[in-house]
Amino acid sequence: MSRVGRRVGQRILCRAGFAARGQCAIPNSSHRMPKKKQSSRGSRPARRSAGAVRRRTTKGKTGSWQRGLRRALPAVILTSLVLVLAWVLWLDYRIVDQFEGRRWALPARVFARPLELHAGKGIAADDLVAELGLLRYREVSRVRAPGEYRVSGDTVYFHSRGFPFPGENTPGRLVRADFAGHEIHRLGDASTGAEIDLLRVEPVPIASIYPGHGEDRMLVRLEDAPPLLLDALLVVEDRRFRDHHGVDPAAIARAMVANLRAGRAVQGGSTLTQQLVKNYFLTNERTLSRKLNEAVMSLLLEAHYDKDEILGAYLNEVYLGQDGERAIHGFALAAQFYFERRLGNLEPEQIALLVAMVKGPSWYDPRRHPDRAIERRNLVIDLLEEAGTLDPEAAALARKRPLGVTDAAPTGRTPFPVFLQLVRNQLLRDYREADLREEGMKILTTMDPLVQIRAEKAMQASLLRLPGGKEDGEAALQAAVVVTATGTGEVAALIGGRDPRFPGYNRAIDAARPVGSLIKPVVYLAALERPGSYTLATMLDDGPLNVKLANGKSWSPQNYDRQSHGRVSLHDALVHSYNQSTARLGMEVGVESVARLLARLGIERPVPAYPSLLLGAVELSPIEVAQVYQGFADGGYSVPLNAIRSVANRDGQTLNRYPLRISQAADAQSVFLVTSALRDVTLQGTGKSLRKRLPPGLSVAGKTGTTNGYRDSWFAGYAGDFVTVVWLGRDDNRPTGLTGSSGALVVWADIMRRISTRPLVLDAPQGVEWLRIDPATGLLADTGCDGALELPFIQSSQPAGVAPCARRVSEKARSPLKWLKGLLN
Amino acid sequence: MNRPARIRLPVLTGLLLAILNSACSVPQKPSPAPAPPPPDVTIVPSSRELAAETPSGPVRELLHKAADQYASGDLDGAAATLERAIRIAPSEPLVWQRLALVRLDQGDWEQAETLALRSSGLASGNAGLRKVNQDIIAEARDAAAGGR
Repeated sequence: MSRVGRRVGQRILCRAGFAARGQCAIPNSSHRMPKKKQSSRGSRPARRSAGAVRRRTTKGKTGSWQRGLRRALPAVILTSLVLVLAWVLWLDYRIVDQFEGRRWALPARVFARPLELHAGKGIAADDLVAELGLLRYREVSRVRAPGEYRVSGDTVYFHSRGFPFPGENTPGRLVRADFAGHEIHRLGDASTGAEIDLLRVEPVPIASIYPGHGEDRMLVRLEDAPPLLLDALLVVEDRRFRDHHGVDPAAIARAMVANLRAGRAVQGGSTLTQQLVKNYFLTNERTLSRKLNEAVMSLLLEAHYDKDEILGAYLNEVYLGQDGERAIHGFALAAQFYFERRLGNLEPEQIALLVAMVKGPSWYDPRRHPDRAIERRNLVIDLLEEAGTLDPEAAALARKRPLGVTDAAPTGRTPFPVFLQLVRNQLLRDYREADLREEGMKILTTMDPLVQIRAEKAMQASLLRLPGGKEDGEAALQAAVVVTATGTGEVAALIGGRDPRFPGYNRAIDAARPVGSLIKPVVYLAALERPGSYTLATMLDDGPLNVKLANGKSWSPQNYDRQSHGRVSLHDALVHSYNQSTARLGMEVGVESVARLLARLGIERPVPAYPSLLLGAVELSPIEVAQVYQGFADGGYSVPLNAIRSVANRDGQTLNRYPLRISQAADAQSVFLVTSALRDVTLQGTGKSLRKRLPPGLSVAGKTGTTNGYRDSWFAGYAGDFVTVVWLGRDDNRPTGLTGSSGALVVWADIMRRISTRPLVLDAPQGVEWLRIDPATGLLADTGCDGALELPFIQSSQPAGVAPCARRVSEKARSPLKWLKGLLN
Repeated sequence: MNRPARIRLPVLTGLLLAILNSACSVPQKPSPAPAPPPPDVTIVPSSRELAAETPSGPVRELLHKAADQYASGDLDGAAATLERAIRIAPSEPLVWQRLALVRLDQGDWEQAETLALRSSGLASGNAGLRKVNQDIIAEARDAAAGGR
């Protein structure tokens, strides 16, 4: 005590409390003394130094001057009282408003999707460990406490921390997960041995949206704070906290004496209440009036609120460090920032260090100045021992311990700025910017960090293998990736450029580029929606065509290989991405119906119905393309892509849910036909190199896209659990030299290989049957036909004729006709 | 509507809730609606028929939870639980049907109809489940047409 006395934090020292008055404030020329006291003698005569004559003349009138003063005195006093009262009321308003209204600006916390675990879940042990790593679990040799894990062979033991979110407030538990290959074989409670049907692991925090001035904090309630912390604060900072009324004259007097002796400001007399007020109105101004204001506000604060409320506020308000633009406020966040522990789990010497740092978080920064920090920490431990708060053994032990801070501060910057941008865009439709920054909202998003990280790695690795993929800089080959979940349209991952950590131009959302052949499935769907006119076996003319345009010009698209392929089946035209037959088909179906179908599939921007639309002259962003392909993956049901599941307020009550809403964009049967053809694209068509790029058994459907001059390389497609869209191109629109298959497909395959757990399943919906077709004629085939294809048909639309290659019409081939007949009768 | 008999919404939902619980082979929970004699028995498949299609562990657990929330009137909570089940098993028709039912009770006719259609699209081998969906669709259309 004698060595440190009642020192206050260095930031507060000299700025708050009367103790510092003699040292800091009076020499300061800018101070403003209360006007009433200094006006009559101080400055006025100095200003009247104009001449002695006037002074002499006034001297003679002293009697009347005094009489005047006497007469005016009551008015002067009254005016002064009114002014003082108004000043106090103003301070009262400010401090109460601060304390009540915006007690703490709390940043919004953004979370990934919670990982769901159950037996049969397609996840490898490494994935679970990766997720636990993102949650900053510690690997230990024996799992005892929440936040710890251990791997033993094919088994992962971990103690979850519990799920503190709306609708499900489950406590943490000791879990045992047995893996068999890439699947959970058994999930159980390691303490009881009971099976666990379903476990939701707490979600990974992926970002925070900070208040404008960068204040970051985590709240702790007074009753949850460790008693040692509270005792230490009072012992070190304000021993008479429980007795004073906001200002402690004894402490000030002591500090003044100490400061006078030392000849400089070595000690402060600020109470915790004064420090709290100081923290509320952070400023470096060191004037007497500020200190007076703070003193009065402290008295007012104590008059309005009890000691516990003030101490509780102090715990969360106090400034304890800086991380770039992020200011670390409050002990709970400081515990996490310095030790990566919850406040309740700190060791005595760690608590002592935090209390030591109140005096000067930057001067005593334990990462940058460990010697200073440990010296002051031990001083605090001495004080605690003297005060009897720590017994001598505990104190001796604590003094011997190292600082215990983690090497690197956990960063406040999000590793996923691109996804966060999507989340912000969606939030700003429903909330004000200020609410996002200050209201402490908890935002549960759809992002799957395992998928996101794998997609990033796959993109970066495969980009390097592509021609031109290594060069960096403004003209570099750029990439954008969107991954969404089938069924729900939840965005699982988003990549906005070749550097996924760079928050700049977000190509996944903002770069609208011509989509090329990615449009073709839409054209074919528009045709197949008319089963009376088109089936996958309908023969199309792939000869050259010339379309007269409204402006008098003509449009003559050509095939990629500059060849015409004669008569081709609709199936083959899509699988091989022929332009001439597609354009002809689209003109028959009508450009308008293709544009309308695009709108039904969720494209909100106006799409001009020019014939060139049929070959993808429309510009869409990768996320819009994902929206369209989501409709294909979901069997014709369109679901708006979504990045947020729910938003809760700081108390955990749900403010907003973003429910699943689906609409039927196209009928399931026609979409199934398109999906079967898109599957064939990946087996025999423009995407056939996928066969060697994907693991056997991972069936997928997808489409390549290449635009004029190789400016854009696209691949869009889906398997059982994800829809993925990849775009490659350059910001300056220079050619990439890549087609959809030589560029984007490579990245797409690498991503799907790493994230897919379910293959595409071609389960024909009701009313669709598979038939064997002769591709040369589009007619029914049998075993006598070479190269016959199995194609799905909507019932009542199957070919009526039999191919010449079929030696005879088998009963098998006839049976559907019979069936049809029976149906019609 | 070519339906033989109009069945009142609470009856339908009560029945479906009962089926859900029996399908998951747990002690039947009391249904929120009174259980009058079914006027048209063909509307719902037998429990056995549905039990054959009973989803596995995690989805079953969520269906139970949703049934509890539904029974206690927490329709938003039930919907959130069912969406969670859809994330785990997007091809499970029963879950889509439950969600259709919740939307029906919330008066969201359009979603009820579309979700029931989606459920049927996934249930090509399950006539019983499709029949229930047809009834949900018919109810939703009637209600939408009647401005209920």
